[in-house]
Amino acid sequence: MTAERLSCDVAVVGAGPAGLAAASAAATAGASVICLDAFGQPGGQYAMQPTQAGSAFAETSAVLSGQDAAQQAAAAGAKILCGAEVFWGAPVPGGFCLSVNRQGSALAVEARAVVVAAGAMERPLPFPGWTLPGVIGAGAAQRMLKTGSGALPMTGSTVLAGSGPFLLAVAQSFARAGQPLDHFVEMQRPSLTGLTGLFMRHPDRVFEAMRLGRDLRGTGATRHFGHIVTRAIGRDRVEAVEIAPLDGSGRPDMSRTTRIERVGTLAVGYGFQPVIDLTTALGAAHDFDAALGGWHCRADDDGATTIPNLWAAGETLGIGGAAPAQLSGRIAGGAAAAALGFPADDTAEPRKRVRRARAFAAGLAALFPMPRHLPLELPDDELICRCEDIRAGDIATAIAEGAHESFAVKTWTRAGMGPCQGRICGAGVAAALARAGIPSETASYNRAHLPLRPVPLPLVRDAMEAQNQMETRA
Amino acid sequence: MRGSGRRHPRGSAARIGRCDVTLPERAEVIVVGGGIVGLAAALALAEAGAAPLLLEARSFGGAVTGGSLAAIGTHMHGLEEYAVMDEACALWRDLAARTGNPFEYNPQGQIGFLLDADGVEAGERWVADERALGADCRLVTPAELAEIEPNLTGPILGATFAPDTATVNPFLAARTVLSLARAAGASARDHAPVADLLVEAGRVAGVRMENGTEIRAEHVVLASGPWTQDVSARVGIDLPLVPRQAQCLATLRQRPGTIRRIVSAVESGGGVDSGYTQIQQAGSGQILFNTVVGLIETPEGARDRINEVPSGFVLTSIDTLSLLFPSLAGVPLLRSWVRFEAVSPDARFLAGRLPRDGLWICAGDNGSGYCRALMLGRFLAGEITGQPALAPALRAEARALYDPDRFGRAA
Amino acid sequence: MTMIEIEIDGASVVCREGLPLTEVLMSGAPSWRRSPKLGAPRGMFCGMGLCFECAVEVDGTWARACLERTRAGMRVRTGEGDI
Ligand SMILES: Cc1cc2nc3c(=O)[nH]c(=O)nc-3n(C[C@H](O)[C@H](O)[C@H](O)COP(=O)(O)OP(=O)(O)OC[C@H]3O[C@@H](n4cnc5c(N)ncnc54)[C@H](O)[C@@H]3O)c2cc1C
Ligand SMILES: Cc1cc2nc3c(=O)[nH]c(=O)nc-3n(C[C@H](O)[C@H](O)[C@H](O)COP(=O)(O)OP(=O)(O)OC[C@H]3O[C@@H](n4cnc5c(N)ncnc54)[C@H](O)[C@@H]3O)c2cc1C
Ligand code: FES
Repeated sequence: MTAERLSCDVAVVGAGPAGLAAASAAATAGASVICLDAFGQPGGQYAMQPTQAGSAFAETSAVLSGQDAAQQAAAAGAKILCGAEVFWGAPVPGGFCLSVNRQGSALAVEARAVVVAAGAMERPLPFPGWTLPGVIGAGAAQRMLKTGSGALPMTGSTVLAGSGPFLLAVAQSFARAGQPLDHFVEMQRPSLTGLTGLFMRHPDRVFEAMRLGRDLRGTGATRHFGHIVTRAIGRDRVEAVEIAPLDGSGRPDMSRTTRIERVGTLAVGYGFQPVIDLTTALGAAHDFDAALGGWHCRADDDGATTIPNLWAAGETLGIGGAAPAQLSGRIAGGAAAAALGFPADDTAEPRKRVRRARAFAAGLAALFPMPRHLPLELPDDELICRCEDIRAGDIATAIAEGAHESFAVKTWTRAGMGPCQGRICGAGVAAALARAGIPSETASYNRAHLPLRPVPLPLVRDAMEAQNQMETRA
Repeated sequence: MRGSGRRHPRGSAARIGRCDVTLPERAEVIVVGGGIVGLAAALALAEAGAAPLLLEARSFGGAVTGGSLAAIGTHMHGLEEYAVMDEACALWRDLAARTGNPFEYNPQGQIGFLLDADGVEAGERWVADERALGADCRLVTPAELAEIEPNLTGPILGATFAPDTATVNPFLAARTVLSLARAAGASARDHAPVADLLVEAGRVAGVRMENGTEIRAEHVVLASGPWTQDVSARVGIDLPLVPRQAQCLATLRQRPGTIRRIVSAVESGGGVDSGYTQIQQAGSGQILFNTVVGLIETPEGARDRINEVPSGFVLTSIDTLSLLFPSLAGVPLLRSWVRFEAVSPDARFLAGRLPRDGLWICAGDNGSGYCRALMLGRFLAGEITGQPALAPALRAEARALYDPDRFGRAA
Repeated sequence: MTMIEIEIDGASVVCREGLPLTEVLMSGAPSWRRSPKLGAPRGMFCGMGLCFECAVEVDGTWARACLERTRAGMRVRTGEGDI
């Protein structure tokens, strides 16, 4: 077999708000554009498209905005390929070669410039019982509501827990789907003065916020602010959930726990982290900023990374929500095309708006500060690495014996060597290192290597053959 | 336990690299490099009572040591080294027995597959030569092979089989050697890069760290892998070592027993352009495999970059795996990595005294330093402390084989 | 909505077309895999293709159930220990 080949001026990785905006901008400038996304439909996380006719989400503004963005990009001439997961990127003479798993066959895309708009993923924090089946990411619950039949498949009551504004968005999805939500557990108690201050500065967001609050109440969920889940309990699946209020020091008060019985689904989300596999693999510089979700790709105002002709947009640059993602995509897509000699767009307006949108996101994030340390002690036998079954105690011992960065913890314990390659356990390992006095900034991250995500050998082979030909072509 | 911290209580607190560590002001012996070779040297020195201080620029065992397939065997290493290799392998076996085997020592055996008539002829010669030295190895027919390695169903004409070749888990073996060395009196610091050597009256008298801290020592051992000459060059010693890029691929976990032995071939005699194939299943279930044909250039500035596997290497490695193990042709690839080995002109280590008093070397692994590490550590500790830990005959052989001066003095 | 038939571990299952495969699997039980060392039950976790906890075989190829959509005739094998 040989890989299918395509070439273009600008390849955009990710068809979320940022990627679609980048594709539109670059195509409008006259560049040939291919936009690739692993999911079955364009839209990314924010504008995720329903699969079922008559879905309660069919007419939401987010879904419609995704359709619009995709139509706009296509009308400008961009080619959008879904079900196309980029599993490798390499520099080749004159640009880059992206290796793509396109629904089981290999595709090699040769591009003069690449815009990475790979978005964000959940930043899972381990807690006792978090590996029990039925404990899922808050984003996973939302995805199921939005792209599935609209009902969660598990019997039993549903608990939504974690921290941050996204939790409210998920609650809103429950309300929209008409799916019962029984408990809502938010770690923070955002201060009223903080909230007032933020919305005085951004009055245009007040309506959105009020809707979120109304929809949360509309789910009928019992609301537990200032609480965290201290344990998921069950044998082969989650059956009950224990929660506790946080005391003044931010630790759960274990003398005041409450047990929620007959739980079928516990959806947990403590915020997001940028998806940086492709940008790290291509060797771009990354920085750590807890307020932006941790390690994120470094870029200038145009989205230029430290690698020539490699651009980044959206949440790959740091967590900030759909509005700045879309604007930064527009800027980076235009700049990528301009750098190749296509006419440049006037970006003064989007630049102004992106600053404002980022300021709002930062203000909101400050109201839900991300816990740097795990808020609760993990027992030694609790797993931190799900892929390889590595326990908190194993990791603590390795750190004590001389594993003083994420990479070293990985080699000595295997935490991060399984299929997820550290995406899921990374936050737990970083917390363990932080606890031992090694901050995330110095603990570093595990850089991605071929393949970014597991791919059957024949596809890797075909894609590498294409890459090899591009590398050696006269 | 005699930690050098206790022997030298006046330490200077210094922030080195990423961790706050206290560095002693002096040590009897400093080992520069915390790969398996440096760790093994530290262990042997500590056991000889020398309380060494090991300084590793990044994480212990994180360089080529952590990218190793870590096969431990005498097979296919050429004949001159057979006796010392036999000792090297025995030391790993004994260490596993002595420690309760926390590093997955697994004497699984090694198959050398033979694809054509030339290969068969070479294999026959090899087996005859090795058997003459007393090695346990033989030729096996494809029918026998079906029992020894059931999934090796590719078009091979025959194979050599060395039943006693083993593997260790490269991370856990390094970790074990480190903790044994510490228990025996060594101290070790990670994220502690050495920048320079201190010279006094023509003699190497210690090291200067990247942050400027000076540590004095009677002896300094360079076990810094492919970049050893960067340090030796500070005192004008140019070593005949060239970095060679080595790389590997790993699949997602497969059922235990999918591949039972080390499956390998050596396609040329060694040096920077040596070709080889090595395929094995790790304790984790992952299939680790690599096939190199001919020279893979070491990129400019390789040391300071995280390098990626070359596309051509990936192609040939997948083709070879699929040819030999057709049932694995569709499994998913999980991971790849690149490391650098130190190649010497005759494919043997440089171990012993350098032409500067107080300075020693143990580098030049030529892609099979895991196997030799414990033996070399003992040899070197014996040379430095004067308390030999190898039998006199082996010691004499090692001196001749690994003499750093054997290519002529390049000072 | 179109109803289709798919095969899960040899048994025929009727479901809607285009659903996330995880929804169909979870309506049976929340787990269909075992973890490598402890043999603990596992199922969907991240729901977006990055944790690999939902792995299955679809028509003979390793796949993430959360990224698969149901389509007529698809053959799904779940792993008790080997996927
Ligand atoms: C689970 C989750 C749920 C969210 N829900 C909401 C919500 O309800 N409301 C809200 O306002 N915000 C939500 N967000 C925040 C959301 O990330 C932003 O609002 C917005 O979607 C960011 O846009 P983006 O274009 O940067 O990234 P995304 O929208 O995440 O788009 C990135 C896209 O890149 C694709 N991609 C990544 N890597 C590759 C690759 N290697 N190959 C091919 N494709 C790839 C992904 O499939 C994805 O479609 C959510 C985030 C997450 C992680
Ligand atoms: C894919 C692969 C397969 C292999 N298979 C086998 C096999 O089957 N059997 C076998 O025996 N061998 C095998 N090897 C080779 C084996 O791994 C190496 O020979 C061995 O690990 C060499 O160890 P080392 O300590 O010399 O080198 P390294 O591990 O490179 O250690 C040198 C250390 O020195 C440190 N350092 C360098 N400069 C400084 C400085 N200035 N200050 C402080 N520290 C410094 C480095 O950071 C590094 O950690 C394989 C290698 C690879 C890549
Ligand atoms: S649930 Fe995480 S990859 Fe499918």
